[in-house]
Amino acid sequence: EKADSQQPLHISAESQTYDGNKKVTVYTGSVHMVKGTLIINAARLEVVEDANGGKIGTLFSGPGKLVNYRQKRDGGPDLWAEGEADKVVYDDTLELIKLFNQAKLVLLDGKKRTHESSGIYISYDSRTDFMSVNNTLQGISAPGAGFTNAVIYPVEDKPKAAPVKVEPKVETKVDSKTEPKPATKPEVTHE
Amino acid sequence: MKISALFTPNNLRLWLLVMFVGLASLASYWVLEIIRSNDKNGAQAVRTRPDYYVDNFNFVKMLPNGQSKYRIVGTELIHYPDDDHADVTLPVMTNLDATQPPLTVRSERGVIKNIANQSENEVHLYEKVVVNRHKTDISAHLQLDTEYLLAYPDKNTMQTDLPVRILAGDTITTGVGLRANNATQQMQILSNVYSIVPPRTNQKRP
Repeated sequence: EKADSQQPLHISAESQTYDGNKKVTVYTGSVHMVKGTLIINAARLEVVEDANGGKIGTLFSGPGKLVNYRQKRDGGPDLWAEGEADKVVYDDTLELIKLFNQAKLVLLDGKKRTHESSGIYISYDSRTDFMSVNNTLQGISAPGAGFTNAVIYPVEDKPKAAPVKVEPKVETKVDSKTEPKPATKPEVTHE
Repeated sequence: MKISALFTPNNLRLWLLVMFVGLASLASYWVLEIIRSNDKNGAQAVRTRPDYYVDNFNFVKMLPNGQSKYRIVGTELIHYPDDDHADVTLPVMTNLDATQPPLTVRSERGVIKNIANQSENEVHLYEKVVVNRHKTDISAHLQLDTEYLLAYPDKNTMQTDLPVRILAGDTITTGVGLRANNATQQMQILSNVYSIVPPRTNQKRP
């Protein structure tokens, strides 16, 4: 969501190497990256810093575990986006997420899935909530280069508000045995 | 005076005394020899007391071509000849190599090992070690804080196994254990790394 852009980026990992010449920082070992509501877990994270300090993070999946990603979306109290992929590129300045290879992105309303798409390349701009799924790694769809698929979940039509039936008021004989009396002193009837 | 005059009876007693004293001095010399021989590596060989002190010293290491490589400045240096090490208080080490960004390391206390050795100076820095490199056009500002740092100024490398806190540019990183090589500009933190990158406030939205 938009508010994430003003949040600090926290990264925790097992070890880190930094190369001053190439300005590349590599975090390895159960990398956990958090920025506001954005959470990404991966095996390795490479952060490259460009000339004016903009940082681009590339997260790689480890053996047997894909990079997973979760972020809150604007435009609703409880809208979330969750995704997983073999490689994720997060651009800190543009706040753009790109998922590569076995990419899957699920949009959720609370716990309920509203939209799901998977393909070889998915890019999602959390600021404008714009998602594009393409069938080539370069992010441009080329004819005949493979399929992307999307599942749009039906929105259950909310049960119409049941009409309020007015029951006739029925005077019933108060029987202390079957009906629990309200707090007033129970009227004791001896059989 | 004839020689035989020397051996008159009362002189004889005199000669006996001379011989006795001679024997005694020989014996004592003999005992001293014994002490000195099995004490070869004794007090005289190991000289644990320092052999020189330097106050407000400035130790500059030069390259063969006369250029200065690095400098260690401190308030007090005490040199011990037994294993050629020196205890230093408030050392400040600066590398003066023009090819690399200037780096300054300071701490409360330091020990410089094998000073005389030309290539292998070893500098142990203790308590409140601060490594500082100001911002240059090719490298961001760097500051590193730790409690112990082992520096090899000749090889331009630094290492520690204790927790470190690094401020590089705007990113603060903490971790345990460090291997850094200033010549190749590479730095490695060995375990439980945690870094915080502040939001880019003046972010120019494209």
